[in-house]
Amino acid sequence: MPMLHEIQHGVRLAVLGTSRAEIVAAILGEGADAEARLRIHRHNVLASLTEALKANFPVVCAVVHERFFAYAADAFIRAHPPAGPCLSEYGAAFPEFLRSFAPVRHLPYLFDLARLEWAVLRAANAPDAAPIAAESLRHVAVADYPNLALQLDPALLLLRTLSAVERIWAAHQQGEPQGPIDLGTEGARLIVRRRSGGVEVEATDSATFAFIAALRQGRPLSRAGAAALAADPFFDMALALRRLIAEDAITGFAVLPTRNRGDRQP
Amino acid sequence: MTLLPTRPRALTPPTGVGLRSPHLAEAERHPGAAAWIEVHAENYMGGGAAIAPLLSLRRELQVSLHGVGLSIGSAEGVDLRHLARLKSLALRVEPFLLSEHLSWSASGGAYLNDLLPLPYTEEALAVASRNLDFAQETLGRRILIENPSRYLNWRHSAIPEGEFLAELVRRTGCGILLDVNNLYVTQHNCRADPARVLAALPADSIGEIHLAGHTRNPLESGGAILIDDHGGPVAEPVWALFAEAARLFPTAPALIEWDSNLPEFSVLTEEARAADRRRRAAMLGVATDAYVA
Repeated sequence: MPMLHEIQHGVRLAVLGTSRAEIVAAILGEGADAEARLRIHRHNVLASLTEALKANFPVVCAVVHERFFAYAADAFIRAHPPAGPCLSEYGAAFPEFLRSFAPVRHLPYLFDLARLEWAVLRAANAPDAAPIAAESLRHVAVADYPNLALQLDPALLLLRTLSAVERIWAAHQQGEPQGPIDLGTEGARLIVRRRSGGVEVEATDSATFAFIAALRQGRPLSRAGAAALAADPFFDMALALRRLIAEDAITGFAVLPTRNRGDRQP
Repeated sequence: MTLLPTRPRALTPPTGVGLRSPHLAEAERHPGAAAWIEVHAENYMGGGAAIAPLLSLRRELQVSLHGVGLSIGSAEGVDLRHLARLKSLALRVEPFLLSEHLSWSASGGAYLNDLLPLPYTEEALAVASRNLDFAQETLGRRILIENPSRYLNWRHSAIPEGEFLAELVRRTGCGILLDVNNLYVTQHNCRADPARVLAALPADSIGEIHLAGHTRNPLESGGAILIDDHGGPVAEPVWALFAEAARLFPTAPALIEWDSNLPEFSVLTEEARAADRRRRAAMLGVATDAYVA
């Protein structure tokens, strides 16, 4: 008599792979009938997970067309089944999978497009965080500003891409795009942000991108500003900061100790 | 002048509807349309805005949380992270019912997203009891366990489904969510006798009744298999089982589930009112019989 874990392992292999003989023998009924019954579960698993991927990567699906998407999804699901039941979190490995999936190697932008959709999904699922009021920063002494670290809204994500895939994404938000889309040659620096009306994607300049990326890493203003100035010597930090606050993107702050502050004894 | 016969008071609990995201806005506009609602727990576990409409409906309506991902039949135990998320969701939503399935979905760290059939053995009973004990203790509340739709029988299954569920109730104190469509689908696909399941279940364990539609798929080997796709109205033989269940378990609230080929929200609420009418008729039947006896 097979143990429960053997049955479950066998069904898993039969659903995701091809080795079915042993598990079919454990099912009551004639061979073909038992196979057909097992196929119902196999279909349930693959079809429902394909739907989940379609929901999570709708623009990739539209670009490659539904039938090809289902073919790619089938291969992906077998290689990377979900780890848990929340399917709005399924597909972290899908962009990387598409990059090495032979039939779409001639469409290198698919990788970035899938990464963008994954970022959109993560922004949509990020926890809520209340923004700080602009006035609360008034209590920070001017001398402490260089050491000020800002906490960013978890629903704000940054993405660097090799082509301007945000144009494909934007075109697909209003149905099927008309005509070809210029993907540029420069790549893009994108801010992905959940707002009350949904997730928005916006291309930004290299200095602003470097500034926000440094803040996201927990760097204080002085170092975030230096990173931005390295990208653009005319970067206006005060303006960038005011914009982040006005857009409710700052959810907390702290004055970091300077490196030598700990050496001083009171 | 003829006197109208005194009608027994039909104190049957009203039938609710399963609420899916395309109907959220409609349900918010007409909070009186459904008597109560049930949602899939996993759809509200992410952060973000998804939960806001549910919490706003919660102020008007009783909510039941129906989980599909706990996998209480997994030999490797339940996913602790998932259980923790279910707990925090339940603390926010404060559902009046919380339910899961007698099935398994996870093996070797893979979540297969289907309600897969357990062999009904002593070992599986011990596994499901242990997992369910742990889940109920963690959540600090009773879970209703739903009888599954089955498409296959394991050769080494030794315990009839009704007895398996009754023993699970005895060991863990869980309740039962009796899905009469699943009962019918399983009867057809696996030759299980619904009357035997109904007779085996302790009446005070039945906390909810599910109603849904199914479709009929032909098999290559001849015959057909019924698929529990929740994609249409309740079938007539399922209504008959419902009448029987309503007589046996008069206090358990019923629910209409509809997940695929989703129609207008009003079709669901009308199906719920049809369930109320059938239920009252079934109860009336009991009262008449009792009077005659």
